Amino acid sequence: MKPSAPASEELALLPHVVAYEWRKATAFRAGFLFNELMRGLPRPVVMGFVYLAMFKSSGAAQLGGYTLAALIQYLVWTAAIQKCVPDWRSLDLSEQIFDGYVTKYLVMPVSYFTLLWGRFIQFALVQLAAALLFWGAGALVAPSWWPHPASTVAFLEACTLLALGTCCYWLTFFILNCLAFWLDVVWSLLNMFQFVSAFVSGLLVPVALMPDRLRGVFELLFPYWTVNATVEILLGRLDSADFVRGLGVLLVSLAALDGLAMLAWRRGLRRYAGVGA
Amino acid sequence: MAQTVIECRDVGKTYRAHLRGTGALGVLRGFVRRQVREHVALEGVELVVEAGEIVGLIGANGAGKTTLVKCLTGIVPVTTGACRLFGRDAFQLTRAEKRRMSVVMGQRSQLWWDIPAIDSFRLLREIYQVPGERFEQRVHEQAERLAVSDRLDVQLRQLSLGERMKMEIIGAFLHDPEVVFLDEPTIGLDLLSQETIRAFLRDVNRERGTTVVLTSHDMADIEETCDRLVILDSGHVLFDGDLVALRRRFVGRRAVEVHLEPASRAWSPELEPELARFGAVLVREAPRALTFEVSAEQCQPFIQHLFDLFQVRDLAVERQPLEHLIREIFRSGEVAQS
Amino acid sequence: MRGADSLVQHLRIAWQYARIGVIRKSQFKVEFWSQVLMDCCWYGAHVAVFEVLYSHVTDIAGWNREQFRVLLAFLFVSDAFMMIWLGRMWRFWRDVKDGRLDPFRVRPASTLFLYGFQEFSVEGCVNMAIALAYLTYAVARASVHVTVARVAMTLVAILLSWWVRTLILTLYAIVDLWMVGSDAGRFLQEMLHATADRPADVFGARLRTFLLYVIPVGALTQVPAALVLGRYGWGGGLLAVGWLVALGLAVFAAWNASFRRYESAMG
Repeated sequence: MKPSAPASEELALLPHVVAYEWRKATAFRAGFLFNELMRGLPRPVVMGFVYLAMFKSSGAAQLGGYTLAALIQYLVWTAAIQKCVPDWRSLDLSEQIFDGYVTKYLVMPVSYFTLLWGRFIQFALVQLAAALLFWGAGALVAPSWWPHPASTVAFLEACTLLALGTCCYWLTFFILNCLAFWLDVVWSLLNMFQFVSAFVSGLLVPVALMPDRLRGVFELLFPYWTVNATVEILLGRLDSADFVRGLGVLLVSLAALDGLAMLAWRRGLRRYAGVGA
Repeated sequence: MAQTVIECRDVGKTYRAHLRGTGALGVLRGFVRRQVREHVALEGVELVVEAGEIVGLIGANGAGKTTLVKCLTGIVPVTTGACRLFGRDAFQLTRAEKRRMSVVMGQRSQLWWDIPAIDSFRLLREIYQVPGERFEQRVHEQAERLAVSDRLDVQLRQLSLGERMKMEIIGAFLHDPEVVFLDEPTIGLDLLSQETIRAFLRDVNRERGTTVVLTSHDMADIEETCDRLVILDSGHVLFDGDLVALRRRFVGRRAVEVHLEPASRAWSPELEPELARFGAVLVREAPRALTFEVSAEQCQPFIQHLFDLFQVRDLAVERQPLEHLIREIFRSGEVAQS
Repeated sequence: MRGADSLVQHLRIAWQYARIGVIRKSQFKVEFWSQVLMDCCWYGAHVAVFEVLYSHVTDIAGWNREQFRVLLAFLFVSDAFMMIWLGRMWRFWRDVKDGRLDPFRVRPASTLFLYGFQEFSVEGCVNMAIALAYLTYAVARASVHVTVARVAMTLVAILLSWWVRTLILTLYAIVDLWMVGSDAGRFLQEMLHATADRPADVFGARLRTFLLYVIPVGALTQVPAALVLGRYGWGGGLLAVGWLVALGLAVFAAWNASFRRYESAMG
C-alpha cells in the first residue's frame, strides 16, 4: 500500500490540478464554447415554445400552479443551474479503468481523490462562470421579464442546495464509473441514471406539473433538491422550511455517497489488474 | 515497357495547427486571437514508381513517410503539386482503382478486434468483390505461407502481435492488388515474424508483379526486401535510387570493430587526433568495444595504429552498414536521384 | 447496371456487418440486456414527459394526445434504426480527431456507408420491435383507418424517418469534419434530442420551415407522423418526401466533398 502524502501537500496540489483541468477544457476554443457555455440550452428553449403552445391551445391562466411567465422563468433558471450539474461525460474514469490508464495515478504520491476533486473544482468554477454569464446576459438584454432571485436569503439558500447537490451528482458519477472495476456496462448505467435523474430533478418538466404522489417520492432524492427545489426557492415558491428539509436530504445523501465512493474505490482497486482491453 | 503506377510531381503537404498559449493568460489570449502554425510535412517531392518495383521509404520520425503514403492512397489531399495513382489524382480515385490497391498500417489494425480474422476476411471479400472460390483459395494459400493456417478461427485480440500483422497482410492481399502500401508492417515484431513477412513480400512481388511501397525504420526490412530506396528528411527527398547505387555512391568506407582486453586503455577524447590522421570517425562506444569508420584506403594503416593504441582482443572489418550510409546522407544533406 | 452492382455490393457488406454484430454480441450478454434496459429508460422518460404535459392540456400546437403519441413513436422508430445501424456515427467527432477514418477512405465502397454502418447492434433490433409495437399502438389509438394506402404510407413514413435520421447524422458529421475538436457534433446531437420529440408546429412559421426543410431535425418525426395521420394531402406529402430525399442526396454529396478537410492523424 503506497504511503499517502500529508493533507497539506494534497491541498497544495489542488490548485495545480484545477489549472491543468482548466487547460484541458480550453484546449479547443470551439469545444469550450459548445461543451461549457452552450451545453444544456437547447432543451429549455424548445420547452419554452411548447409551454407557449400549451397555454395558447388551452386558454388556461395556470398549469400546475405556474403561469406562462413563471414557467419561462423556471426554464431560465434550470438552463443556468443545469450548467453547474455534472453530466455523465464529465468524468471518464471508467474508460481509464478499462484501458489501464488509471495505473499512473495509483503510483503517484498523492491520493486519487485530490485529482478527482481538483477536476470537480475546475468544473464547478467554469460552469459557475458560464451560468453567471448566461444569467447576466439575459438580465441585461431582457430586464423586464428575466428572472431575479426572490430575495437575498432565497439566493443563498439556492446556492447552498446547488453546491451540495452538485457534489452528490459528482460522487454518484464517480461511483458508477467505479463499477468499471467489475462490469463492462458502465456507459449504459450512466445513461440510465442520466435519464432518470433528468426526470426526477425537474429538468425535463417541473415536478409541480406531475402527480402529487410522484413529488412525494422525488422529495426523498437529491436530484429533486439540486434542480427543481433550487429553482422554486429562487422563484419564491418554496420557503426556508423547505430549504431545511432539502438541506437534510442533501447532507444525508452526501454522507452516504461519500462512504459508498470510498468503498467502491478501495474494493475496486483490489480487483484492478491494470491491464488494458 | 514498364507502366508508371505512382507519380508525384512537386508534391507538398502542409498541416495547420493552432498554437496554444501557456498559463491561464496564454489560454485567454488564445481565445481572442489564435496563432496558427503551419507544419510542412512534404515539400517538392518527386517520385515515379513503375509497376513491379519494391520501394522502401525511410526517414526519421516526422520525415513525412506516412504523410506521403496517405497522399498516395488518397486519404488526405496534397496541398501543392500532383499525386497520381494509376494515372489519376490519388484523392479522386474511383472504386475500380481502389480495388487495385491496398494499404497496411502497421500501427493501426484494420481488422475487427474481437472476432476471428476469417470473419473479417469475409467482410473484405464483399468490399473488394472477390469471387468465392478465389477467396477461399487465396486465404488458405497465404495463411500457409505466413504459417497462420491454424489461427484463422481465433479472435484477433488473442493472437500475438506477429500473428495479427500476418492477418493484416493476408487481408491486404486477398483481392490480389496491383499496388500495396505497407506503413511500418514489421514494427514491434519478433525476428522470425519479420523474416516471414519480408519473404512473403518478395515472393508476391516476384510471382505476381505486385508493386510494393514499404515504409520502415528497420534497415533490415529495406535491405532484404527493397530494390529501391527513397530517403525522406523533413519532407524532402534526400535520396532516390537503388541500394547498389547507394553503396557505390558512398563506397570506400569500412566499419572497424575492435574488442579490447580488460587491461587495455579505454577510449578517451584525447585520442581524437589519432583518428583524424587517418580520417577515421568513432561511431559507437561500448564497454570494451569500439566501432570506427574509415576509408578503404586508410583501413590497413588505421588497423595497425589501433594495435599500437590499444590491447586488441578481437577485430572485425565490415563494409559500412546501410544505417551508417543513411546517416552519412543526412549529415551531408545531399539530394540525389538515380 | 453499375448502380445496381453497387447496391448489391453494399447490401452484401451490410449483411456481413450484421453477421459480425451478432458474433460480437454473443460474447457480451450482460451488455446486451443493460443496453436494452437503458433504452427502455429513455423511452420511459419520453413517454412520462408526454403524459405529464397532456395531463394538463388536450392539444399542443394542433396535435392532440393521440397524434402526439404517433409523433413520439416515430422518434423511437428512427432512434431504433440508428441504434441498429448508425451507432458509430455518435463517435464520429472522436474518430475524426484520432484519424480513424483512414481505412475506410481507401476501400472501394462508400466511405459513409462503411464507416457509419459498421456497428450493427442486436439490441437495436429489440428496440425496433418495441418501437414498432408502440407505433402500432399509437396509430391504433389515433383511430387511423386501416387501408392499403394507409399501410403503404406508414411504410414510407418509417423509411423516411430512417432516411432523415441518416441525413441529420451525416450533416453533423460534416460539421465535425469542418470543426475538428470542437465537439460541435455533440452539441448538435443535444439539439436533435431537444427538438425531435416535439412537433415543429410549436415554433413560429419561419423557424418551423427551417427545422422541417433546411436543418430537418423536426422532419425526423413530424413529417412521418403527418403522413400517417393524413395531415398532408397527397401532393403535399409527395413534395415533402421528395424534398427530404433530395436534401439527403445533397448532404451525402457534401460529405464526400468535405473530406478535403480531413487531416487524418497528422501523418
